[in-house]
Amino acid sequence: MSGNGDAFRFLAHGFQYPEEQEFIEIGWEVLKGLSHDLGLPIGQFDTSTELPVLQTEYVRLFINSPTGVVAPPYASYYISRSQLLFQEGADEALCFYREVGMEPESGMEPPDHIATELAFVSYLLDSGNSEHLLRFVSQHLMVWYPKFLDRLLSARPAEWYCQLGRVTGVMLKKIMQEGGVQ
Amino acid sequence: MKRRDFLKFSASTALALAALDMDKKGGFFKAATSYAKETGSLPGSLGAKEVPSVCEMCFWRCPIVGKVKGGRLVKIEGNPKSPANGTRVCARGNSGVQLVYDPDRLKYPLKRMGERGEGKWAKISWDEALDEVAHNMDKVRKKYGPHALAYFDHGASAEFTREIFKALGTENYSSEPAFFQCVGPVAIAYLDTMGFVVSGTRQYIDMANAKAILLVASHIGENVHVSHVKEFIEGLSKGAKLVVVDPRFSAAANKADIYLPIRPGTDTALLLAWINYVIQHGLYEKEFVERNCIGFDKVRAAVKDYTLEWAAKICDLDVKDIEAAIKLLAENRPHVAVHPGRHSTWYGTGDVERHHALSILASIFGAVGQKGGIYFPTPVKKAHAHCAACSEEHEIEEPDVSLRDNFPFVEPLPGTPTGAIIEATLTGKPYPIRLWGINGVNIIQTIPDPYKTMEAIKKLDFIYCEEMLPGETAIWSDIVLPSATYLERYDALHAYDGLTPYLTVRQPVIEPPFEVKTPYWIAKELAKRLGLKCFTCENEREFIEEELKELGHSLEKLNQEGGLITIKPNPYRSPDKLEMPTESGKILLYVEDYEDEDLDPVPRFVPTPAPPKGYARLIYGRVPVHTFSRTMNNLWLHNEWPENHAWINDQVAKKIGIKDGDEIVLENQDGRRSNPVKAKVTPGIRPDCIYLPHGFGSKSKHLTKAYGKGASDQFLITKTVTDPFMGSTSKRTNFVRILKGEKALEIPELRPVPKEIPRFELKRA
Repeated sequence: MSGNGDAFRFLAHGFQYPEEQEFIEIGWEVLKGLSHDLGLPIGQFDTSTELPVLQTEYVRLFINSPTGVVAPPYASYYISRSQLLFQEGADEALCFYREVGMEPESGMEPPDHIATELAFVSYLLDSGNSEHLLRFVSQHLMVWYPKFLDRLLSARPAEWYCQLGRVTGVMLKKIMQEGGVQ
Repeated sequence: MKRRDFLKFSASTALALAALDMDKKGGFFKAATSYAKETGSLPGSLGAKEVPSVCEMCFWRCPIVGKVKGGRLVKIEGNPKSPANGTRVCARGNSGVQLVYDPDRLKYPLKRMGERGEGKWAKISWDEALDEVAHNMDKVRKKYGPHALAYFDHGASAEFTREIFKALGTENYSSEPAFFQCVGPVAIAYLDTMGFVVSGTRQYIDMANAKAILLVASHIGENVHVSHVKEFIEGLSKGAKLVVVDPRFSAAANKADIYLPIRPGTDTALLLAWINYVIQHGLYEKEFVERNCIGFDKVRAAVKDYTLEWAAKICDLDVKDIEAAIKLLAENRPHVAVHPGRHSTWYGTGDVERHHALSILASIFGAVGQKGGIYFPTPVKKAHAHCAACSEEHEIEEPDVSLRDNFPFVEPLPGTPTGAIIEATLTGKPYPIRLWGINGVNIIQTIPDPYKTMEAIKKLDFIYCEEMLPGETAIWSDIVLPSATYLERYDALHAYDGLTPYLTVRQPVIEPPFEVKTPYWIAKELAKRLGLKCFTCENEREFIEEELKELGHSLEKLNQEGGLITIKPNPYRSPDKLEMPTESGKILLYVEDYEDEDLDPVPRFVPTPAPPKGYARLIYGRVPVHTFSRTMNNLWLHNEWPENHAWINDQVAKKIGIKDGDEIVLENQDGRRSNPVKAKVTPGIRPDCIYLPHGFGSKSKHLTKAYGKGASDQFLITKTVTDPFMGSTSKRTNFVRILKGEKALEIPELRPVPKEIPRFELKRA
């Protein structure tokens, strides 16, 4: 395990459906800390916000929402020309996982969900496979993440998701910078 | 990149992270079971695994083959083994790929968080969702009695749960808009005259071998049912003459030898005058009628005053044209396809009569059981699996006053009229209805007067739906259950009993993604929670094997044969030995049962009110790439036909200053307005009608592509007339005028209405 791995594992869980109030409360402290460390401004978020409110927001943003899924959290949607799920973007992610002998735990969820991809980053950080990490981030994840983030931010999400999205974006950029990729 | 911890965190960040125990959280990955890239290197669908199945982009059920690569569906084609559609599928059939991978599809069970209709949800587990549905069913049943439960259903996905509603004892275990807003009147008319449903899901009409074809307002070619269209085209290509009766120059009218642009609401007048003409001129098959029909003399007497001249005036047609048309049809008897029609809920009163008249015309032409006429279905033997329903036969105890009481001819078919359920929900009379289950049907876009439907929903204790996409039904539901698409599930064996009979099976081409479940699984789980002994098979495979076993088959064997077995057809009979499936074995031209209920035993022309001054009648139809509102969010189909246009007669348009492509709003007689829609100015529609293709103008914002595109005819249909035979609701009894900007434009009356036809009276504010 590594500190950086833990941080990405946190981001991965942050993009999963929220089910623990405590995770959100402490998680906001983590996001505040990370934002500070990365020099990112941070907005106001009331950590006493009840879980159902954040759950409703999650459904609106990532599952089914009044104006269509705001930001489908899947690589395939952004990478495939058809804007469908389970297409090339999903194949690509799966190839990266399989190259290091891994597969997503749940077979019926698309393999290219943002949470799964961030968890993969944390796994590669922990195992020190920096060559694979750099390839995965620069050739796959960062190909779609900025488009996803744009859609997310333009829907005025709850502050939790706004900050989570921004911090994740900067941290992924840092990986690229560290690896010398522009 | 050398440093593992290239990002340095402050102590407070590290502390907060440590408090979450992130280092102990895993659960995302496992060791890979496969290293190979399964998609292979061949392009497109080459080298794909082929899985035979059955389409459900519409309800015609064409046999298909799904092509799968690396677990992903890449293409759909017609099953080459199918004698009906062969390798062909329509645009919608092709686009099943889009349905499966639509980012907007329902993925997890959802629970309503905001108001009904608002579309705010939380994701919940299947256990919670099913517990909630079962708890509410049980609670409502105990508090208000079994009939307080009602089920709106459509298609194969809805069949299992229907058994649950039955087992719970409600008379409202089925209410199919497919029946009460579509085929009801035609199904009843033929059942009562010929003893079988000549037109319901299927139309047993042999257009491929006809020498002449009569279509009365048919969507054929605009509503694509592949094998049906193929048979139509085959008939025409072999030289069949075609007569089309329609206020609008439809796709079929475009192929007609004689096209009759009839005044809407007067079709029965034309048919009765034709029947009279045929009888008076001896243009009927005398021997056939003597041997096979009952009530000919009564028909002769009843129609004797309906002359062609009279009909020409009522129908606003040229008498020479209608005479030429009936002569053309009669010349080719008995090989005349008098098409029974399909969608038949037009005017409420007179709908059954219109199809009864069509049935009489076909019968006196002798065009029943003969090549080119109405043919007999070939029964396909299918075993009954014990676990496809509930193990005990549950008796439904009729309530003191049944919602079916007012409709004497609804009896042979299951279901309560949709309108009666909505009324009872709103008023609590004759008994309260407090829970609705909805499966596979968009009730807001299908049942007339959606405003009333929405009011009724607000009165319910509980409403849930089983759906694939978040249409209007889902946004009004308390619990939404995500159901597998037809490409992800087994259904019962599918037996086609038409001209080219076969037996096939719908089977999953791919696994259901996300937390989507199959209808059988959902019904089984629901039954378990309700303490019902239903669906005792482990899964769908088990009951399909049981169904196949008696036929000496197995799923494996069926799949080895390409997923389809053809059966020898038996569609025709000798005119000497027709043996109709009626009690007498004959065709009832005169229906005594109707007389017993004070309904017309021989059709009579009862005019439907003409448009009020300044308005035109709203008529509607289909476009060939969409199935109602179901496919509007499908990217490929949406791309082909993203919005509808309002057809307006060119002379009318000129008089009121509307140009082709102008954006207009339609306002109905009750002041209800459509979304803005573009005008299509054309001579191909009568001046007294405005036409909208159906299914557009979705009010569900969840359907990202479809939302607000085009205008919905449905939201303009607020005035309905209930059919007295079986309770269907009319859909062509509404009138519209045009708004351009905020200015209301009155539709000029270019075709004067004769005094025999009353005029609809506007409610004055």
